[in-house]
Amino acid sequence: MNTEVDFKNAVERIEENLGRVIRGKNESIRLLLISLLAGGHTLLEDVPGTGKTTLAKSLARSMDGTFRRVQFTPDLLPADITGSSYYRPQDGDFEFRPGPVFANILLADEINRTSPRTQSALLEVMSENQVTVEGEARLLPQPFFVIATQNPIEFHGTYPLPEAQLDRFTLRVALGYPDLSHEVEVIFSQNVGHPFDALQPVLTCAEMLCLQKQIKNVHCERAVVEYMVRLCEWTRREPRIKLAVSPRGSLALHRTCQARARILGRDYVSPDDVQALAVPVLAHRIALDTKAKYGGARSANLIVEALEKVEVPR
Amino acid sequence: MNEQPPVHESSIQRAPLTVFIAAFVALAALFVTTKNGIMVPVAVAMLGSLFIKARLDGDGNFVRLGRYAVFGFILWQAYDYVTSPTAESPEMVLAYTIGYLCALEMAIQTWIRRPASGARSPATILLSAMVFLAASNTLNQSYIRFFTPLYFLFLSLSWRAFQPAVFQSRTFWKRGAVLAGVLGLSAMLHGGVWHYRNEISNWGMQFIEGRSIESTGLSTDPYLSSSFNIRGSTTRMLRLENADSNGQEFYLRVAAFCDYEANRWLPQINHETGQIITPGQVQAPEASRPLKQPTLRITRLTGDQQLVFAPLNAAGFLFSPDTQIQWSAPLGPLQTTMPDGTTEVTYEIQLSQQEDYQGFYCKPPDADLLARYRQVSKDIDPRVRELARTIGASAKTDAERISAVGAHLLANHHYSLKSRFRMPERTSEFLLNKRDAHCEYFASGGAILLRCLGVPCRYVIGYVAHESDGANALVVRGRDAHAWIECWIDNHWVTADFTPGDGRPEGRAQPLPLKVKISEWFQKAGSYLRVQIERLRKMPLRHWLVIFAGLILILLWSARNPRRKKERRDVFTYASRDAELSLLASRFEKWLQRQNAPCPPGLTWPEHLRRAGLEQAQPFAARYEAARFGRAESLHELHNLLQELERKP
Repeated sequence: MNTEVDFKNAVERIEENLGRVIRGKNESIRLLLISLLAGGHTLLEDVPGTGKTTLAKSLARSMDGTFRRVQFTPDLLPADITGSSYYRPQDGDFEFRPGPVFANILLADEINRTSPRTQSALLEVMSENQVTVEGEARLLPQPFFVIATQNPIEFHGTYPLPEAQLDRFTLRVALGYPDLSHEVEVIFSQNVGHPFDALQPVLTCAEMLCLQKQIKNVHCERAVVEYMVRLCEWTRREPRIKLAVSPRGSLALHRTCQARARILGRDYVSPDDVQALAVPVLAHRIALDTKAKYGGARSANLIVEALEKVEVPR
Repeated sequence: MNEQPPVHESSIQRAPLTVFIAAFVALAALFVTTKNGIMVPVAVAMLGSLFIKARLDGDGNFVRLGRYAVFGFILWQAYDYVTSPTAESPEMVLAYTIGYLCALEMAIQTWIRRPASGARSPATILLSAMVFLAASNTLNQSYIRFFTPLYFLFLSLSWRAFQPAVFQSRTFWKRGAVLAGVLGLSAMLHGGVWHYRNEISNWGMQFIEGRSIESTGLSTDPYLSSSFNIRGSTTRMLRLENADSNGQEFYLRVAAFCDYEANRWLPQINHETGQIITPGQVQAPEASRPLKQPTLRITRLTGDQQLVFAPLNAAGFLFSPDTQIQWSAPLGPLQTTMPDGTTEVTYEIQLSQQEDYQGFYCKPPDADLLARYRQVSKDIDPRVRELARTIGASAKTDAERISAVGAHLLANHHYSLKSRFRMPERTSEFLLNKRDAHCEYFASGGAILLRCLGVPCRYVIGYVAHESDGANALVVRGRDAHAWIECWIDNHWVTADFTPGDGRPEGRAQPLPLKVKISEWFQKAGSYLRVQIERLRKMPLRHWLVIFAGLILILLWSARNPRRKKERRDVFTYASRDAELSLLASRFEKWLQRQNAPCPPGLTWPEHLRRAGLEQAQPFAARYEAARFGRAESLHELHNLLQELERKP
């Protein structure tokens, strides 16, 4: 019982902390937390000025771990992210200087403003939590969490993320414009100083690791797992989808569902969790057939269609 | 996902009472017009639905099969009735049948479970309107006069959109006044329709097929004009085989008329009691005469005319032994019937090798008859005689008179199907005012002019066969109906056709529309199948046994195949739950169905309950999910929750 109180308490603390800075976006904050608890990475995608970077920074500040931020620019090189060896004349030897990925929380800001070559530097980092430079693999600190922000790809000066990279993000979260009353609140709250400046860490890295461990104990009935896999399988059979959901996708769905159930105070995953998370977890992993894309189909709509068509276990 | 409106049981099942009454009035009207008891159980079934709550599943097999069975039965009865010898006009039977079908559909609709949106009322109104329309098919039945205002009254009351605000009023007098007003208005409306019914029906006819040729026809029975209308019916009437016509058209006559009176050629041969004879008496051509071989073979393709068509120079007839033939003394074989009522009748005609051979139809008239062939009716305007004298002034022989009359008609008249006449005697007007008209007038006018000049002649109707249908075969369609004359010159009957070339069937024939060609292809295929089936019926038993065994094998194979396919397609079932939970789940699903809110497969129960507004069942759904997907939990509480739900109304 004791661990449950801890869990609830910790989650509430973070949510409250973030809620102070980002107003009226409880759903998005909840999704970000789910991703963090599931040990995944998050892609925040929305139009400029909706608070993506602020949310990422606030989350980093709410934990006491190391935080690095990389502003992805068109001239960034892979070594600028992973780190590289420098020659030290005084020792006559090479020394490895770790890049910004060696942190607990990495904010990859505007990730689609750099070329795919540099974006690919994150592939190994995100899936295996390690960096291989000059043949030597170096482990990253734990917990390790990437929050990337990007503008929708139709915008000027952006490179679309490679499918392999997209697949490594557990969740894609959209913030959207705040509603009227919340926007008014935002303006008043920033009148004197930014509420972000007053944020204090509410969770330690060790606590976060403990929470992540608890998630794995949430029970997931075989029928529910079968339901998740059937959803993913539906996308593989659908002719409008060129690139379907990978097993990494179903794994991510499983883990995030566990996190959601735990946050809601349950010790088992129900099909409702799957339905709630299917769009944020799966939609960015599928690529549409050209005909379907220009026929007006959207990946989120296709996932909704899958939810309607695949029978729910009862 | 679409938001579904919440479903409440109380508002599901009934259409407004006025709709029911309108429907009952329609049913009653149909009942008194057709005097068929089938309406009584239908009305009782509808009435029952007002008092009994239970409803059927509209998509269920029970309703579907029931509907097919009942509709099939009615159609079968209607078909039986139409084809029976005592049948009324088929249009009327068709109208009644539609009425019965709509009435039954109406009854079925009242028993089907529906969502709360209440889509039934307009459907019932529409169906009852159809029933009423079918009932009013015979407006000459005076009861309809009493039903119509009532029907209009309830229809207008039931149509909410048409309800004036006064209906909302609680004052008895105001309501009464409105009711009386609607009743009066509908009575007036109906009275108007009734008063002008002939005009309305004429407008309708004109709208449908232009000016009807029947109104300007001159022939009496046998009447070919039913197929010979303005649009030119393409129905196939006859098929001629071995018709070696050398590119010439065949004039297939059916009857010749002698006397002209009151715009009609008489006598009405159909009503002349002919003598029923056996075929042996017809097939006795003199053996010495040189006959063409093979004989001309005519197949009559439709059953509505049982007439015998043959060219003027027919030398003999060969009928199949079971044919019954009506023999008219002056004309020869006139009508044939088959004892089993078969529509297709085939007979053969022996033709002489001499083109001008005088056969059955060419017996020399006696003096009495000859006088009748020369007689000009008193109805004919005296000026026609003067006209005839002018035309025939320079002609010395009968042949010259015929060509003079032909030349006159061709020079002064045009062919037209839209004749308009003002004088009561139409042939006279045709001749004197040089009207445009159709073939009957050319033939009739020619005959009158020739009679005025003293040439004996008779008016003939029939078909002109000209359309090729394969090698040495011709087909005759309804549009090939024609009228011409036969003149007695030099002890011979000679055919004369005064209709201009563009008015003769071969000149007027349009290429067939594609849909007709396609439907004819199917008809041919059907008759081919019939022949094959007939041949099969004569097959020995052992062949039948082999075919039967083969069919059984095919059936077994096809029955196995879809099952295999089905297994392949949908093998997936979720990991099993324990038996007690399954039982609870199916009970809960039944409960949902009773609430008229079955859960779609893509929704979880809590989500579905939220959308359907059935919040009272949320505790059960939450408990159930905990038991189903969580770790073991006692099912006792679940039982209690479900029982509580089931107990509530």
